[in-house]
Amino acid sequence: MANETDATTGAAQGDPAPEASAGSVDNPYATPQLPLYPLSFDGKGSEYFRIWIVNIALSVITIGIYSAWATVRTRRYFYGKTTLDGSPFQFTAKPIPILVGRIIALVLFLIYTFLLQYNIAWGLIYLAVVILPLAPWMIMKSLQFRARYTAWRNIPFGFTGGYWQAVVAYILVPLALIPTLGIIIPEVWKASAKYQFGNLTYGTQHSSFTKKAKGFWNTYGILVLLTIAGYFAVIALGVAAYFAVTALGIDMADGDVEGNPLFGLVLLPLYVPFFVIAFWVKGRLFNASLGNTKFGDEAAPILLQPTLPCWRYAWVLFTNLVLVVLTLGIFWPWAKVREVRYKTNHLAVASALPLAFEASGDAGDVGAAGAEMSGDFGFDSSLF
Amino acid sequence: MALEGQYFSGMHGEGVRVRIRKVGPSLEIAALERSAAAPRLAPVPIADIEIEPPLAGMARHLRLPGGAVLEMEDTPELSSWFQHTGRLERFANWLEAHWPVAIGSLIVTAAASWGIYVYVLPQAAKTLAYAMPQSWQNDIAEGSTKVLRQIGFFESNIPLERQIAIREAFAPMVQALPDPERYQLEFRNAPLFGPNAFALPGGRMVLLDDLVELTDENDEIIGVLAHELGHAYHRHPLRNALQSGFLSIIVAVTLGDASGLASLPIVGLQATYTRNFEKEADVFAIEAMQRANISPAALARMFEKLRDSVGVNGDSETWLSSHPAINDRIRAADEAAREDQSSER
Repeated sequence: MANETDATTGAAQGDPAPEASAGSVDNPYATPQLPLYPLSFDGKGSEYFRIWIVNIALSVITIGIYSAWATVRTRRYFYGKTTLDGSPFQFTAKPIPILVGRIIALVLFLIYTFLLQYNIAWGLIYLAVVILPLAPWMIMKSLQFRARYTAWRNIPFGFTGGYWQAVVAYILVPLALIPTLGIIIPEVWKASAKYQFGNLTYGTQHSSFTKKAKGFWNTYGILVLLTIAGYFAVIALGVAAYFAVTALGIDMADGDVEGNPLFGLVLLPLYVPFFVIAFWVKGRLFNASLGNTKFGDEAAPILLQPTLPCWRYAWVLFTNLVLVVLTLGIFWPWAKVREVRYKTNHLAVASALPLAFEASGDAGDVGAAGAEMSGDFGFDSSLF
Repeated sequence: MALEGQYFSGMHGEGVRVRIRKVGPSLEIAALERSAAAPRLAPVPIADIEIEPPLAGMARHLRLPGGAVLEMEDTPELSSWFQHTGRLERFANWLEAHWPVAIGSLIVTAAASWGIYVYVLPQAAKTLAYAMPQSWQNDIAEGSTKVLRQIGFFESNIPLERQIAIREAFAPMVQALPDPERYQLEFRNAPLFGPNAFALPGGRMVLLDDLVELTDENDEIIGVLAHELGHAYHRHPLRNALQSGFLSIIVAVTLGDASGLASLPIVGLQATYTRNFEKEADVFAIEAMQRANISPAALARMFEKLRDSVGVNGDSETWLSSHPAINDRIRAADEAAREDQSSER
C-alpha cells in the first residue's frame, strides 16, 4: 500500500510562498512589488568530497576516460542541489558526447603543441587560421550546450546567440582595448555578459540584457581606486617587511634577497589585497551580469535578482583559497560548495506570474565539443 | 506497492502529483490532484523508461517515452524496479556513499599520481623521444634556431682560431659516442641571455660568447660542452618538452576548473624533472671528461666563474629551481677530480 506520509518531492511545489521583493539599498537591481522566488543550494562539502575524490581516482585509473562521467556527476550534483520554487535544476547531458568532445579538443590541442614545437611559424599560423576563428564558435557552442542540457521542471533552457555576435563580443570589443589603452575594460565585461545572458531562452520566454547596463563602469572605477590604494599598501608593507627581515638578522647586503625563503614568506601578505580585490570584482560582475538580465515583457517581467554582498563574497573566496593551499587541495570540495552556496543563496527570481511556463517545442542536440574546448572563457557568471 | 512523484509533461512547466504503481513489467501513473495538466497515461513499460543514475540520494528523474519526466525520491523500492540499467554509475554511486572508499580513493589517487609522475611520464617521454625520427628532431631544432635568430641571436664574435681550438678539443668527446654526426656545435652571440650554453632537440648545442669570454682555459669550456653533450646524448630537450607537456595536460584534465590553482605546483613539478636532467648531464660530463683525460676540476672552476659572474646564491635550491644548487655541482665535480688524483698515485 502507499505510504501517504512520505514526503515526496511533489509536496514542496509552490512552497514556500514567495516573499515580496525588497528593493532595498543593498540590492540595486531589485524592482519593487514583484513576488520573489529565492534560489537555494543545500549541497554539503562532505558529500561532494566523496563524489570528487572518487571521480579523480577513477579518472586517474582510467587515464582520463572516466573524466566525462565525472563531469556529468559533478554537474548533476550541483544542479540537483539547487532548487527554485521547490524544484531542482537538472543537468541532462550524457557522458559519451562529452568524452567525444574532449577527445576532439585534445587532438586540436596536440596538433597545436606539436606544430609549435615543430615550427613556431606554423603553430602561429594554425592559431590565427584555425583557433582564432574557431574560438567564438566554441564559446557559442559551449553556451548552447550548457543551456540546452540545463532543465527545470522538464523544460530545457536554450541559447540563441549567433557566431558574429560572439565575434563582436569576444574578438572585436577586446581588440578595441588596444587603441583605448585598456580603458574600456568595462565594455568588454559588458559585451561578454550581454552575449551570455541576453540570448537565453526558457520555454517560450526569451531573455534580454538591459541596454544601459548598470554596474560595470562603476565597478571599474572602484577597482582603479582600490588598485592604486593597494599599491600604496604594498609599498608600506614592503618597507615593513624590509625592517622585519633586517630585524630577524638577515643580511640583505649580499644581494641575495630572493634566495632567502624567509623573505618570500614575509612578502606573501603583499598579494592579499590583490586577491581580495580580484574576488570582489568577480562578485560585482556576477551581480551586474545577472542583475541586468530579464525574461518576459513589460507586462509580465521575470527578473533575476542577485544580492551578493561582494566584500563578504571576496572573503569567502579568499579564505577558500588559503584553506585549499594549506590542505594541499583536500579542502577544494568544501570550498566549491561554500562558494556555490553563497552565490545561490543570494539569487532570486522576481516574477509577477507564477513560475509555470510553456515549452517552446523545438529541441535539438548540441555537440559537446565546443563546450569542452572553450572551458573557461573570460569571467564566469554561472552559478556552478 | 506504490510510490509518489511529480509529473512534468515537458509541454508545460507545472508539476502534477502522481502515484506510480508497478504492475508487471510496466508502471501505472495516476494523478493525485485535479489539474488541466494531469496526465492520462496508458501503463508505460519499464524497459522504455530512461532513469537518471542515482547520485547522493537526490531525487531521480525518469524520462518517459515522448519526453515527459517523473521526479521521484530515490528509494530502494524505486531502485529495485530498475536493477537492469546503469550498472557503472550505480557502482560509482556506491563508491561515493562510503567514507572508507573516499579515503581509499585519496590514497589511490596519491599513489597513482606519484607513479605517473615519477615513472610513467618520464618513461613515456623517453620512449617517444627515442622513437622520433632524426629528421623530425632536426626540423624541430631548425624551427627553434630560426626563432632564436629573430629574438637576438647573432653571429659569434669569438675569434675563429679560438672557435677552432675549442672544436678540436671537443671533437674526440663527440667521436667517442655512437652516431657522432648527430651532435653539432654552434657559436652564437646573444648578450640578452648572459653567459650560457644549451642543447636543442636533435643534438644541436649552442655556446654563447659571454660564456666563452668568462675564461681563457679551453678545458673549462669543454666542461660546459660535456654537460650540454650529456643533455643531447640523453635527448633531454625533447624529453623535457614531452613530459612537461603531458604533465600540464593531465593536471588540466583531472582537476578541471580547479586547474588555475595548480599552475604554481605544476612549475614545481616540472622543475624537479629539469633538476634530474641537470644532475644526469653533470654525471655524463664528469665521466666524459675523465675518459678524455681532462680533470673534472675544470668543470668545477667553470661553475664557480658562472656563479660569480651571474651573482646567484650558490646554495640556493628551492622546489621551484630549474637547476640544482651550483655549489653542490661544484662539489661533485671537485670530488670526482680528487678521486682521479688519488687513484693515479
